[in-house]
This record gives sequence, C-alpha cells and structure tokens, in this order.
Amino acid sequence: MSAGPTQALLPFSVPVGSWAEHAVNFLLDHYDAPFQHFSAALYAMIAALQGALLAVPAPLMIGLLGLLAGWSAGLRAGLFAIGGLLLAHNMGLWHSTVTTLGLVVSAEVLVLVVGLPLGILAARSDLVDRGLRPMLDLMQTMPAFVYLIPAVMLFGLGLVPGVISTFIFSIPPLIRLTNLGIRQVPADLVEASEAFGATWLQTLAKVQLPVALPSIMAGVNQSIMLGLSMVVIAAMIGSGGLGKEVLEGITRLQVGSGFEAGLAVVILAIVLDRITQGIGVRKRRRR
Amino acid sequence: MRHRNWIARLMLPAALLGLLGPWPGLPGTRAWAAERPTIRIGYVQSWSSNVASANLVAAVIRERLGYPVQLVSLDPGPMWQGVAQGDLDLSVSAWLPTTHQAYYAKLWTKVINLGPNLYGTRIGLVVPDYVGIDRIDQLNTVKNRLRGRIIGIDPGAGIMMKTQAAIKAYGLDYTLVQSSGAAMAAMLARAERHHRWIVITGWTPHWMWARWKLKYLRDPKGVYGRGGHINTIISTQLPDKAMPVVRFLKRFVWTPGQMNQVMMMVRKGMSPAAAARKWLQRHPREVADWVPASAHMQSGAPGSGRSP
Repeated sequence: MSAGPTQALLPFSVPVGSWAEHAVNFLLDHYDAPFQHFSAALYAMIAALQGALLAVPAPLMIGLLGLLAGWSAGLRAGLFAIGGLLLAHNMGLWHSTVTTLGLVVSAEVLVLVVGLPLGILAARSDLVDRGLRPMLDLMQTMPAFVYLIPAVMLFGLGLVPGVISTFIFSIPPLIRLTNLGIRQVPADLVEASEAFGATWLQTLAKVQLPVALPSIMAGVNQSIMLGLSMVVIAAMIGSGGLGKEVLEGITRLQVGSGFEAGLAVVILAIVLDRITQGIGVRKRRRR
Repeated sequence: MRHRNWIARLMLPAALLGLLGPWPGLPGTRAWAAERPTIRIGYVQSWSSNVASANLVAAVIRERLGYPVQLVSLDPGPMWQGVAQGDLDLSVSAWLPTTHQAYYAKLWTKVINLGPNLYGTRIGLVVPDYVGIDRIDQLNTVKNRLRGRIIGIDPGAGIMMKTQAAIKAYGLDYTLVQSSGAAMAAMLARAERHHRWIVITGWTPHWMWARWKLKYLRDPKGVYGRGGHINTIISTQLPDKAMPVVRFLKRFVWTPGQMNQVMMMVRKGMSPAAAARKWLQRHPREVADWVPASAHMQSGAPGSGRSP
C-alpha cells in the first residue's frame, strides 16, 4: 500500500509543504492578537444570532419557518417544513437543530457580505474573474481537513473556526453564479439604461441585479446546501449542533441516534432549500 | 471531447478490475485469492501510536509470514465495527479497559480479544508544565486562566466519558469541549506557541510527550484508573483464514519504550513502513520471540493457514 521510493523528475524539490507551514507559523507569531480580536468579535455576532434564534419558542419558530416555506414554495413545502421540524423537535433535537441553523445562517451572512461584491466585481472585470477562478477552485476542492487544523490554530475551537471553514467551503457558488447572472443580463437592457443616463450604480441596482436575481438566489441556495454539508465536519472542531449529535452517534456505534441527527440535517436542508429556491422562482414568475 | 471518451472507455474496465482485485471474497477472484489472502489491518491514523504498531505488525506479517497486507485507516468506531464484521482482519489498537470501553461493551461477542500487546498506557487531564497547578482538584482555582474549558477529543471516546465523570467527582466548574484528536493537538500546539494555559484530555503513548514538556494532573480520586493496555483484537474469521498470523498476534507484545523508537523515527520524517522495517532489522531477538523460525514463510506452504 505504501508508495515505493520515488524517482525525482526535477533536480530540486519544491518546498510546498514547508511554505504552507511557514505561512501558518508566521500568522501565528505576528498576528495572534488581531486574530484573537477578530475571533472574539465574530464569536459575539454568531452567539448573539444563535441566542436570538434559540430564544424564539419552538412552536412559533416552526410556524414561522412553515409560513416562509409556504409563501415562497407553495402549500406542500409549507406543510413539509412544519411536519419535518415537528419531527426534529419530537426526536429531542430541537436545540441542536436551531444551533445548526444559527451556524449556517451566520456563515451565509458572511458569504453574502463578501460574495456578492466579489461576484459583481468579477462580472465587471475579466481580470478579476480570471484571478478569482483558481482561488474558487481551491476553496471548493481542497479537502476541508487541510484548512480545518490551521483554522483551529488561528481561531481556536468552537463556533468561529466552524463558521469560517463553512464560509470558505460555501462561498464559491455564490460568486460564480452572481458573476454568471450579471454577465447574462441582455446587453440591450444595459445599453438602454445607460442611454437614459443611468450611472453604473443605478444600472447595477435597477437593471442588472434584479434581472440576475434568480441566478444569485441559486447561488445562495447552493452555498446554504454546501454549508449544511460542512456541519458534521465542523463538529470535529467543536462547533456543536446536529453535527455533534451525528458524530456522537457514529463514534459510539449508536446507529439510531446518528441516523436521527442526520435526518434532522436533511429536514433543515430541504426547508432552507425550498425557501431560498422559491424566492428566486417567484421573482422570475412576477416579471 | 472524443479524446476524453476514449480515455474513459479505457479507464472503466481498469477501475472495475481495481475494485475486484483486493476483495478475495468475491466470486471470480477465487483462484487468485487461494494463494494467500490479504490481511487487512485497521488502525486510527490520528493516533500516532496506532500508526507505529499497525505498521510494525504489517511488516512482520508481510515479510516474515508472507501474506499481502492492506492497512486501512479509520476512526475508532468504524475500526471496531469492521473487525466485528470481518471486513477487517485485525487491529492492534484496541485501548482497553478505558478509551475503547464503549466499543468493547457493544461488540465483545463479535470479536476475538487476544489480550494486551502493550502495557503501560495512561489517560488523564494533561497540562503544559508551565501551568502552575498539579492536581485536578486545583482546577477550579484557576478557572479564569483556563477559560473554564477542557479541550477534549472525539465525543465517543472513553477518555471523554471519564472526563465527564471527573467533572462530576471533583465538582469542576468546567465545560468539556468535544473535537477530535487532531484538533486537540492543534489547540495544544497553539497554546504552547504563546505559552498560554490549556488543559486537555491526554493519553500515553502519544507524540505530544516527545514534542513538549507536559504533565498529567494528579488524580487523587482515581477517576481515570490506574492505566491500561492496548489489546489485539481479531475477526472471528481470521483463524480460518490465516492461522500463522493468529499465532504471531498471540505472541506479539512490546513495550512503550520500543514503540517510542518507531514513533520517533516517524516524527523525524521516515515513512511509517520504513521505520517499522528498520526497527525489525535492529531487533531480531524480539522478532524471533514473536515468530519462531518454524513459522517463517519458507516452511509454511501456501494455504497452510486454512486448517487451524
């Protein structure tokens, strides 16, 4: 199974690994305080959001999410949301489910704040687009464990590295789809708005973004789905929630409780998927 | 596009063959499997002691007994499950009676426990030696410096359950943070770098003891027990499949010091397989104890393992 001795093809060895290690060590040695402050600030935000979500009584929260799903994707989706969330509550997983929701929503807020402007920039400039693309490939395909451990060293254990790794993993689709959506806005629409003397900001806000909205919402939707798939991995660095329940179940060989927690992740994923997908579709219908 | 298709058409049968290859149980591969079955060893990659012992055992089975070996790295839960189901033939990484107690309690009827291969393991709460306390019952007095957190590992591990018991027994005002072995080590590395205080759930043997100066917090109430051992467990099918391997495993016992030599070679950059081979070359006496000359590959005819 082990690889045999390798023959060198180049007369020197490229020290990729030691560069990466030096980079992390450099950050640790010189930017410890900023990372601590950033980490504390981010933690306060995430904890506040989770606290707020947890403070809502379960029946009210289930009703609200049900209404939201029903409004955006129709009666069936609404009923599914209510039934599914009731089941999650019934399995004793309510607290974990809401904690996970808080984690995913926090990561999604960061994704929106960073991803939308980057997507718009990439749509406006081919140079930015070409520069971003390999970065996005890297973020999407680098195995999560590779950056999980440096994230722990920089941000500690718990919610913050969990949200950051979720953010890294789930931002690429939003950037890509925002970029694509804006680039696909018909040129005559943009020309028309420019002919009427609109500034680029007005064109962006009144023409490009509204037309690109279905594509952008598809990006939001994709990034939420990817975020939920990071939940279990993030639990390995102590971010809690449903991922913790899944890990606890499987590491104790309790198939049942692992399955229950996994099912709750699925329910949450479907509810969030229907809500966000519905918003994009509604907008398209209205036009 | 056409080019890609061509490659894909070549790759598919190759991939299928690859899938069939390593599974001797499948029909069609019988003839190939009849020579000598591949011995599959499960181990936990993130625990460096397991890497050392699994590679050592693999080297003995491969080079002295002549069986092909496949090393499979997994989490402890799947490792136990795999041995119980016969998907894995053996593991030399069963930490009993402490850390893997939950798995053993669940699966003890489905595996064969060959007993300890290493005595002198220990688990407990561990701090860097610059942390100014020595006993678990002093933890509450320094709660602020430690931020009220004990950095733990995988949620199912026995060391985690013992720590919950310790929190109760000593009335500690601490939360136990669940993570994983790798994340715990990363937290320790980070704390050491800035000389920050930290308390973790630790165990011996582990490479962290060679890297940093650490100490166990004394445990006057004995919650963590007196120390344990690492056992060898095998699947119930292994005696039928490869009796010489079972005979070797029954005799296989080594010491933390010997294991440490392998771990240190790995830490200095040698591959685990190479480190294991080197150790075997340097220790012919031990090897002769584990594998008497009569059991060497030249004397054991192929398939001799089938009749125990």
